[in-house]
Amino acid sequence: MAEVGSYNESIAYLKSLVGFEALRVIGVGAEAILVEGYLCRLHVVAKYRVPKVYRAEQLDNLLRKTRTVLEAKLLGRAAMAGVNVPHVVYVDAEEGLLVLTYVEGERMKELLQDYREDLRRLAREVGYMVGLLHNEGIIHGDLTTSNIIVLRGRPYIIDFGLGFLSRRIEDAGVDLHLFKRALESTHPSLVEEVFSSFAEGYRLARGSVAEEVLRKVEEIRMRGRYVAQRRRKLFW
Amino acid sequence: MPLVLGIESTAHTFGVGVASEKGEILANVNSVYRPVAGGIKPSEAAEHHSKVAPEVLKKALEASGVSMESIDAIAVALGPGLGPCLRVGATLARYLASLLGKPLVPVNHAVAHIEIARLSTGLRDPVVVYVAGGNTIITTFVDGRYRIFGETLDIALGNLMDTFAREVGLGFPGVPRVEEMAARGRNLVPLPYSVKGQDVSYSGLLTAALRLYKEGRHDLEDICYSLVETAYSMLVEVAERALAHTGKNEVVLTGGVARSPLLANKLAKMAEARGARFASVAPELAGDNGAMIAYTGALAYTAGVTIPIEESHVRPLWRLDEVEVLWRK
Repeated sequence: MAEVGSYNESIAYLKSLVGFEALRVIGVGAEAILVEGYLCRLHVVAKYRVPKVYRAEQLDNLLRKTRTVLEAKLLGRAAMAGVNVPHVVYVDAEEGLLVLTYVEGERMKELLQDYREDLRRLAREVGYMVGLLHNEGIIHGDLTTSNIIVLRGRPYIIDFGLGFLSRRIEDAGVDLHLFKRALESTHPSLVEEVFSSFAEGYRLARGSVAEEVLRKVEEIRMRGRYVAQRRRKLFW
Repeated sequence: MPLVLGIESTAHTFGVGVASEKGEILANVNSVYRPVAGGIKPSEAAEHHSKVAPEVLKKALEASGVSMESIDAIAVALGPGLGPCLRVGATLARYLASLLGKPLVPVNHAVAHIEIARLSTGLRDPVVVYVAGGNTIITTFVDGRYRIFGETLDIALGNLMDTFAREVGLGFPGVPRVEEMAARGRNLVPLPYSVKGQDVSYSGLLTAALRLYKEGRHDLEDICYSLVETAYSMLVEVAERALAHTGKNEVVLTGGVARSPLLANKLAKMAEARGARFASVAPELAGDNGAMIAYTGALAYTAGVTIPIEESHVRPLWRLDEVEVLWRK
């Protein structure tokens, strides 16, 4: 459906890597295309940040390069903290290329839509993993149910493309706020059930800081425009 | 076929439109309040609205060629917007409804921007980029409502551009003035590119751009170019994320900033690369207007939405995703 030229170009580039064998294009995300394949007999996914024609070249190059480097760094740290993430196999920052081990399994998005998993247990475990990330000062930046892969009941967190390092309560709060917002937009009927279990797991990993962050989530929500609860404060 | 008269008065525009549920727009008359200096003062805007209201209503009825009696319902934008301004439209709508014994239909201003864009472009189920002086929202229809996929965490895109233009002496409206300067810019100066998940943040960008200007080391043309590049690219990136996330294949641009050819061009390029269709709302329906309220009111009225006069309070913080969109399946 999209960017056929870019596919071929990027696959050609990937093939030029010694030992890379492309199997199929998994998907065309918003910022990268994902190609499944083998690199030195490892089952991998190559994440190629396609140049965006709508952005000025200078800005585009800078964004693609810095995001690729940062993503590799965050994945390394997350793995060392004991979070289930894909492992980094190869990085070419100038090209915007990141090769990671392939995580089999299904997206949490589909599992929630089909009610096929024990939602509470799964959400708790996701909350715990996110708590571990935050303990390390890793903010994911794009927590959605599309970015959580479930393999044999265990969640893997993928796509750290918008992640960054921060110890601020505010940033951790925004991370959780975005997850909640993603639930609201994609799974409106399950928000309370999933988020409360998520919060349980998060508390388990973070201890007393968790309450501060969860309070922040409410505060951030109230800052948004046209929030219903905020009306109570209006007297005119 | 229901015919509805719609009243818009959420911010700087007082407008009256007449439209049918099928999308025929019989009238669209608008009067925009322009502050002498600075931004909108709600009380002054409201005063403007009360002054022009009778004339705008009269012209709209003349243009429509129909009599007040043959109109089926009165629609009014009850929010979101500035309280004093909203009250002018609401008061007129209640008066007309009770005088003529017609039903009153509440319309959400943001929903109206979306519906008029769908009508104007013919796109059926698009990801909507709604950008105006007071709003920056990426939304699309899921599960009976327009769900908010991304929005600004602080100030709106139009607000960013208007404030920047005013502070550096380019005047109002900000978007065309800044874009005109940007067209002559050549060098990209790094500015905060702040995409947080599906949301954007513009306040840091405004502060940084103004600081650059005050430092005086860069040409205003280059600062404008960098500001526009950064601000628009952030928005297009979020729109692309919404497309990827929902699997939809249409994008529509609506709201006052939809008149920006640069933003439309960027969105068009993004859509083309993804194999999606893109269109902008017609320029005359981009800014706040009465026709969009009339048309959305007609859709809502046909779906059975009315409100008793005694319950028709204005709703300054009425969120887009609170509205049940009964006229869409």
